[in-house]
Amino acid sequence: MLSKSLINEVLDAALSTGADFAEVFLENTEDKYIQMVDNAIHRIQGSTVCGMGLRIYKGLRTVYGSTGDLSPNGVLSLARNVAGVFSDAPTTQRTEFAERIPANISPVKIVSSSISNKRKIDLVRKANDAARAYNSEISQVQTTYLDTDRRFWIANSEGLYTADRQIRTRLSCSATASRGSENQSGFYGPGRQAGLEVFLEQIDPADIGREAARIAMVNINAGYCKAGQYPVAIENAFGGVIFHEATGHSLEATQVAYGVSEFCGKIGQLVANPKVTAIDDGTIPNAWGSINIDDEGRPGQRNVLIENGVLKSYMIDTFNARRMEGFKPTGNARRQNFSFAPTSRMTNTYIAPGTDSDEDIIGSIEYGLYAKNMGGGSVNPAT
Amino acid sequence: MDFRQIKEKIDAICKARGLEEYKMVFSGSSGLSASATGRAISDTSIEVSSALTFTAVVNGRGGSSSTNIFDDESLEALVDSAIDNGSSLEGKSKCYIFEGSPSYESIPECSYQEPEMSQIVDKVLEIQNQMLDADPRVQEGSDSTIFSEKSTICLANSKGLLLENTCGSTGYYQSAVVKEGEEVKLGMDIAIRDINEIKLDNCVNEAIAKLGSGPTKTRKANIVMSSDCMRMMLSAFSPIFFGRYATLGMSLLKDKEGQSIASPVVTLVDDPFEATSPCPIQFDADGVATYRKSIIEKGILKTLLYSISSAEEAGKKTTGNSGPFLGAEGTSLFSFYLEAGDKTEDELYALAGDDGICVKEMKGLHAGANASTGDFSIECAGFEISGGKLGKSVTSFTISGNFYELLKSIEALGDKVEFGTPHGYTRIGSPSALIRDISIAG
Repeated sequence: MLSKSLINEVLDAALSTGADFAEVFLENTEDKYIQMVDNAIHRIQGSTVCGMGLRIYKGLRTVYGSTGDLSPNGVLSLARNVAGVFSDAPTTQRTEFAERIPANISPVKIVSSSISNKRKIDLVRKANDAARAYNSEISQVQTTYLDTDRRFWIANSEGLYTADRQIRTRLSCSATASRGSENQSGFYGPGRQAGLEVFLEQIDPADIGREAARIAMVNINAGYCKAGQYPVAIENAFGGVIFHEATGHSLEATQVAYGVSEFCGKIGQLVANPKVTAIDDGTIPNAWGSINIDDEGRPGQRNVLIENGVLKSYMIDTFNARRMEGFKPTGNARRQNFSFAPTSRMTNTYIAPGTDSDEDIIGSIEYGLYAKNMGGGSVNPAT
Repeated sequence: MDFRQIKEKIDAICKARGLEEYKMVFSGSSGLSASATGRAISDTSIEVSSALTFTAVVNGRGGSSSTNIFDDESLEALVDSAIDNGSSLEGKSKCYIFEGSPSYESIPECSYQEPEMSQIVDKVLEIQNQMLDADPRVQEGSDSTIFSEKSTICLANSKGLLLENTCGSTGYYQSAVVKEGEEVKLGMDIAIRDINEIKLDNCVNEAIAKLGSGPTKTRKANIVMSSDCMRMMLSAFSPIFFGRYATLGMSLLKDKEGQSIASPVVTLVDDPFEATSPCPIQFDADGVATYRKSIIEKGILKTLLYSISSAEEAGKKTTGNSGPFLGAEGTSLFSFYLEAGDKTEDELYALAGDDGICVKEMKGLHAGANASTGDFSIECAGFEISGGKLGKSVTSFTISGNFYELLKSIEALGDKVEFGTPHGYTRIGSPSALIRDISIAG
């Protein structure tokens, strides 16, 4: 997107007022969104997002700037504005680029963004039709297809020059069951870091529609749970979201580096039941959260966060690693897009299998709840 | 690039393609922010952004595409992509290119002056130090941010309509972390305010008041929901007031206009010109003139919210609520709020009686509130109400119920509406509310 010589000019300008590190992030992302509702393709939206983010560090202070104007004037003007926050003499010289090509752990067979709307609409229609055919009480179905083709380039003053491409594809279905004046809904929406082959060869779109409808029908036939305290057994798979929300976010350096996580200073301590081993793994081929490199250009890693109940690691980006003495970045940097500075975030997070069978877990509960699915949640990491 | 230059290029491309009906919305914005942690600036940011959404009408339906690259090749790709997207659309939903309303509300020209970065940095350090000095229990991890944003929206279409709106605002948020023994609590302030009027507000006191919290018992109780929490509920369930949701059977308010759907104390308004709004706007994403309207008036549903397209599907008239400006067509809110009642906070606590709860904090509404069913189950924190007065701090309890029922159970409203920070042209506000017999799991 920008020549190496122009990137060098930007980095030089960014370092000109005393910053000790500068980083350029260039992005060109194309998205496609298709929505079917009421048995008709209601919305098709394409979007292109393209621009540059520029970040500089000076000790424990960071300045971030972004622009969609990639002309030489546009990017150099941004560099001067970002550098203008400091006013010291230069202290750091840029290192010559050593280009790195990341290994590809998520092969893509059919690049979704290269395929016509028609083939994608066929998939959407299959999911929609299966959901509607599931039960006559399914009153509405909303099916959504999304693909993202994200290309990005990272160059920094320490000589890193690298690039990657992340392709993600998702098909989701939301079914509404109606009975009298009551509505209930069901949702199922698998996605992968992969191309259209996911829904042409691996997952039948009709199964997605049927599953959403099945959940909606279970809910319309369900009663309300009496409020109270119960022992709860949580289904595997997406049940892991309770760890993601309640613990994972508290292990991100965004919180830990500022002392506002309940896990601060507890490395090596028992923080969970010894049955619990929790892992964040960005290296699972084609999983939604997998990365060849993170948004700072570091290879994805498998990080054991909690091992047999003992806290082993946090998830750390480069800036917060500066704040956390003795810790190194863990390949967890992520940014929403070029307009945002990266921060530490989970990739694919899960609890490792234990030794207890489902039957033993359920059998241990005299009267309680079985949480079959979860909608998500949120956490206050400070408390 | 100037929007008028982009428009001229797109007009030429459309003419070459033989495309007769189309519209485009351009957004340009600039922003500055600075954050402090401990007693130092931790980060500052400078953002310049722009984006363009183009909608092509093909067979009466609107396909759209967006970009933030404005060279000739990208604009041609934008138009071609929108035409391609439009050609695959189906169903009853049509796209209408609007020739313009007879008149638009006159709003003052935006006079917002963005502060200098140095001014933002000095002010954020000032309020951060005020927070850290306010109480020895305040932790270094507490943080403050001040931000400024100025943005312009331009809308143009093939019928010659050309509308423009510019607005800007400065705001701040402060997050106070206090620690006593092993207990940690958080208090937060967030508001739009002139930079010279930003100062430490209530976050430290709020966090300290939460110390010593414990569980509460499972029961049905009268609750006083703070304005913050009522606002979050209104935001989560706002789609039930969208005409299109009702047409599709995803809101239970279909055909309920004229019927009682809420307590008589409830009047729900959407007002693009609300007096305290930093971003009043005179047109919606269709180009229709916006206006103030009551959605619920004294408990009676008066109207749902419509764009031209969703109104046509429902056999209604547009309410000037098409949006968002960028992206595919839907429904937008402006200043969407419950009108104030006549009770002070203390009077609401007194009315709650002997075994009530004041809900001050909610978490996880994106997961615990289902707009298509109205059901909610939400983790909360707050204070017990005993003898009509606020008592001890309570935490980690869940309130559950159904929003349609909750609207009917509102018995009284506080006398002050508080708004959240705007997202684009949308902001949501509410007073505190006394709600009868809510299920609480402690």
